[in-house]
Amino acid sequence: MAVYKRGYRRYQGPLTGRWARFMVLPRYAWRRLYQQRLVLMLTLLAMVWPVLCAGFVYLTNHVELLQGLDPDFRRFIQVDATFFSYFMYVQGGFAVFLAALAGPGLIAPDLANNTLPLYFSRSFSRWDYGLARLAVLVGMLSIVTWVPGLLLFGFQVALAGGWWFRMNWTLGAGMVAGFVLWLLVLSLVAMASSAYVKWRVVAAGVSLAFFFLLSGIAEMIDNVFRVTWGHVLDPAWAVNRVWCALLQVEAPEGPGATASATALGVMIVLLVLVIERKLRPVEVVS
Amino acid sequence: MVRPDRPFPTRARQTWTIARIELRRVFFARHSFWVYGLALLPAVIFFGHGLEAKIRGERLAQRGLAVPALLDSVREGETLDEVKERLGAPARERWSVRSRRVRRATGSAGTTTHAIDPAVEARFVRLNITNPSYSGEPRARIYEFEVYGPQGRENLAFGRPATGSIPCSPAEGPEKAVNGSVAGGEQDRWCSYDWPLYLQVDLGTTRPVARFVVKHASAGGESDESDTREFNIQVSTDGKVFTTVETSSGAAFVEERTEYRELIYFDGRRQARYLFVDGRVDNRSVRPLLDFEEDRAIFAGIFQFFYLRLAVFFGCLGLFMYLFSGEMSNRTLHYWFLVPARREVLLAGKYAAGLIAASVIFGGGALLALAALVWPQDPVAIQAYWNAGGLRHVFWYTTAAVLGCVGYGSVFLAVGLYIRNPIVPAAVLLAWEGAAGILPHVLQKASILYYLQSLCPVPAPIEDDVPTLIRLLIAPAAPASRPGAILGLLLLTAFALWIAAKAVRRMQISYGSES
Amino acid sequence: MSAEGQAVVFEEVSKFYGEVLGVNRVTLNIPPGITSLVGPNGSGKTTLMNLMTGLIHPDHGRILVRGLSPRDPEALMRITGYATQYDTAPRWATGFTFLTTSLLLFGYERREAEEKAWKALERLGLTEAANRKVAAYSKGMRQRVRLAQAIAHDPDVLVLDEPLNGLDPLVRAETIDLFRAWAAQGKHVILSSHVLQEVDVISDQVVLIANGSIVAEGAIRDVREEIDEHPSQYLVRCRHASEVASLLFAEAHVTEIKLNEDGMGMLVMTRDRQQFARSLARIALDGHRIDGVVPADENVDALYEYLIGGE
Repeated sequence: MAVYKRGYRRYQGPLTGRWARFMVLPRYAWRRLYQQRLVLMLTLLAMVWPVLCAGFVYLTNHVELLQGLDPDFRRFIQVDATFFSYFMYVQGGFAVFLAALAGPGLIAPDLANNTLPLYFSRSFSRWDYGLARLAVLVGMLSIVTWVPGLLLFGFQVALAGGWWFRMNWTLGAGMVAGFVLWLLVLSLVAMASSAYVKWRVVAAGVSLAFFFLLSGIAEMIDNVFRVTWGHVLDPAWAVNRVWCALLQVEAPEGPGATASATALGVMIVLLVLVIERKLRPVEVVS
Repeated sequence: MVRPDRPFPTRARQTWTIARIELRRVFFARHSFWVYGLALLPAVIFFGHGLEAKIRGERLAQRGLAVPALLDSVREGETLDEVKERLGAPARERWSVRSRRVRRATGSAGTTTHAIDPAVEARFVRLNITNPSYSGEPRARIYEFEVYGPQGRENLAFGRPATGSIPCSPAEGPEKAVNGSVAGGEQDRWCSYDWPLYLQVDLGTTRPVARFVVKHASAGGESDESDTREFNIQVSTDGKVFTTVETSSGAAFVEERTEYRELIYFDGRRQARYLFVDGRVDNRSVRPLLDFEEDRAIFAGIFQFFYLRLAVFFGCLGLFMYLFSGEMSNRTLHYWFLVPARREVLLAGKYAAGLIAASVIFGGGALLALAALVWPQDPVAIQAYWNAGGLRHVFWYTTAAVLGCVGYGSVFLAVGLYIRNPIVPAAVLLAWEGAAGILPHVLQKASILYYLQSLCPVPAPIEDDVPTLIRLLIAPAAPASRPGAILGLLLLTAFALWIAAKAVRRMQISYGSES
Repeated sequence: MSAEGQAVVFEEVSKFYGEVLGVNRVTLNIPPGITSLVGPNGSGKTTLMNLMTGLIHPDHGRILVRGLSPRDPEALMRITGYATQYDTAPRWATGFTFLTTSLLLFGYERREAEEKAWKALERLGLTEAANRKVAAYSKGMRQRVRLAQAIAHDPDVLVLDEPLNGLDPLVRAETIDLFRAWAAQGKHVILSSHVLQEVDVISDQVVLIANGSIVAEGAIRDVREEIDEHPSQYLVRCRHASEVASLLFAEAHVTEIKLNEDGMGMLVMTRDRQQFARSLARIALDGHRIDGVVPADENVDALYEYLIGGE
């Protein structure tokens, strides 16, 4: 005879919102990552160039300070598309290393220690998990890329005046779009290598080697076929080409911006497929 | 307790059994498929190149073959019609137009001259600026405003009283535009961002004026983006009624239109490409579709810079480090330690398995790449190559790949036994091998790539414009003789295996958790 | 072979993991038969087993397994079989190939290796699943396949780390019978366990470990006899319990008596067993009817509680 005690009642109060639930993963991941000294050091190091650039912006806009300076230097610190393209190169480089540092620890330990069922047995879908991990990386990388970029842009607008903004708002928009593309590629590469290779350290190496290897393959194809379209396979080159088109700076010889963007799009889709395949809570072995 | 009924297998047989078991895992493990990919990459690329050349040759030949001697006869500067008449219809023709909007520079060195004919009488001359700069900045900058009479010798505006819209700063007033100098930097110009922008000079008396010279921002050393974009000049006799005598749009934009046409001719072996810019030959290139010698040089470069340094290096890293380090990480290593065999036998068996697998994969990869290189070439050229010792090349390339596996395999096996984390030793070794060219001679002998480069039959081509430092790094410093290289490599391998044996004897199982 | 050559001997063995102590100056002499290692988690049971089989090396001291040193796996592993706690198996292996490969490494010809493998699988009841991948086995089956691998080459020393973990009751009973059969053949069966009732039932010897040190070693009754601090407990069933109780209470060696609620029995705690036996015999001969006497704490549960439980 079953006994039902009438003491228990289900929780009737408000539930945590979808967004708050989603942000649990990134919050803890950020806290854990920023406690690592190496990550913190790298982020701080990546702020040096934006600060320098802010100094250049200040210089350019205060004419009296420019008097005694070398004309080549003056042309260099002129705030135009080339200025922002240098900014993007340096910060983009830092982003690569930051992604290689932070990325592998995201998914590999979960796969190796078999903790995915813990996540998926709650109201947390695979896409939520993937997007949350992506948010971790994108957030960290944004802080060193387009956020200082926008601040720099705003600083220049504040000093130069509204007319500069009207002439050059495309620069700001192009910079943000270019950075977002690069961030996406970097984050997906780091996540895919973390999901594919269960060993955390090797995942870091793989996400770095990805770029070197593809660059090497692009070189090989170019040399053997005596063409230039091989560069499309090199993500760094392709992103650079898209940046040149967005900022309206002179582009290196080779495939055009649309070809590069398409190649990057294909790469992104493939990476998402790899991640999707690997993020399974249960592996069935027959 | 020895069982007399069954003789214990000899150590050699045990080694072979271990190797056999491990071989199956190494060859077919899913995680090592990327090694196959690395090894087959050059073969695939060369195969693609050969295929593409063959297909292109067939497609070009469909339109008829040109006479080889005529292909060389085309000179720069010849017109389209001349070429087509002599050589006939091309195999392929492409045509495109590119137009650009180009800004004509403001006068010369930032100075614009405006002459009016006939001369007019004027006492007041006014320069109105309607669009102050090309960069969009609403700031007018005029370094000098000169007015000349019909004789044109004397600047009538020099030193005369000048007025204008409110200047940017007290030092940049209108008097600076008539002070006769432009070299004083920013203190020597008239600058204003008031509205309307104008500069007015009082000549003193009414006199005939025929020519105006305006020196804009780039005349004073600034960027030409600050040059005045649109302005007009007005004159007056009484200072109240002004007549416009000259308008200028600064520097106009012109549409530059270039027509590009490309003709491709094929003579069965060589492809000639002529680029016509605006109807005349601007660029010509005649090259064979398949250049065996050039391809061989490119193969040598790919072999040394990609295959040995990257493919064999990382492939052996993956294969050999997994043998102990990976098993420890997967918690399956203890099964091997529970086998009744000496630890050195275990090491030998695993090394043998890794070596056989790596040799097959990378040696086979090298052979396949060579086959893909040779396959599409002209049969006569191929025959000449064999006669000239091509088979020896094939032998040495394959040997270099296999010996690379021997050397790198032993080093990574030893490293994997001492250090669990493979990234740091891999990076260090990569840097060591890369920097071997500039290390002292003794240390060079500790680098595997040093020996392997001596074995490569064709030296890798290095472009002339590569800086000396890079050249030092990538070129073999003093290649040893072949037998000497093999001996050195084997000694290095033996040393690595010896220290690996020491480590394996001391090895203990400690399965931590994955952090 | 002499008795010395038949034992598993630890001489002052210590093992440190960095600064953490694994086992501390362990001295053991384990004769043939079924020996159980009992102790809390992290006490050093697995460390001892790993030391015995050469998977780890001691920092101090010496180990001899039937006269062979674990530093010589070539000789030792022929007579030793170890079923570890590590639940991983090679991904490519089916149950059958797992055993066959391991036997090939022992030097058996392929045919003989397959025969022995099949026999071992039969013994543990895995014949139906023999051709499925080990990674697809349930937990109990994986446990059994590890056992099969340990016994396939008919070793003299069996070291089993929690062998009954995850087995259902039927298979449990069969496996215990297996252990008894081997012990009867003069082999060493060294196992570790948490289930103290079973340890009671199957073991000849028990080794109690806590915090890396050996707390007690030997047959269960001998160990119990040596613990003086805790009075022995006996359950006495009789008709007139209160009468017998008052008689017993008069004896000096009896410290405490708890009467059963039904009045038909009692729990007696006494400091001296021999005297208690004599007293009880006297009371019985005096005419009081005693239905049964059972030692209440001559089991590993009690030993565990007395020796380790307080810490």
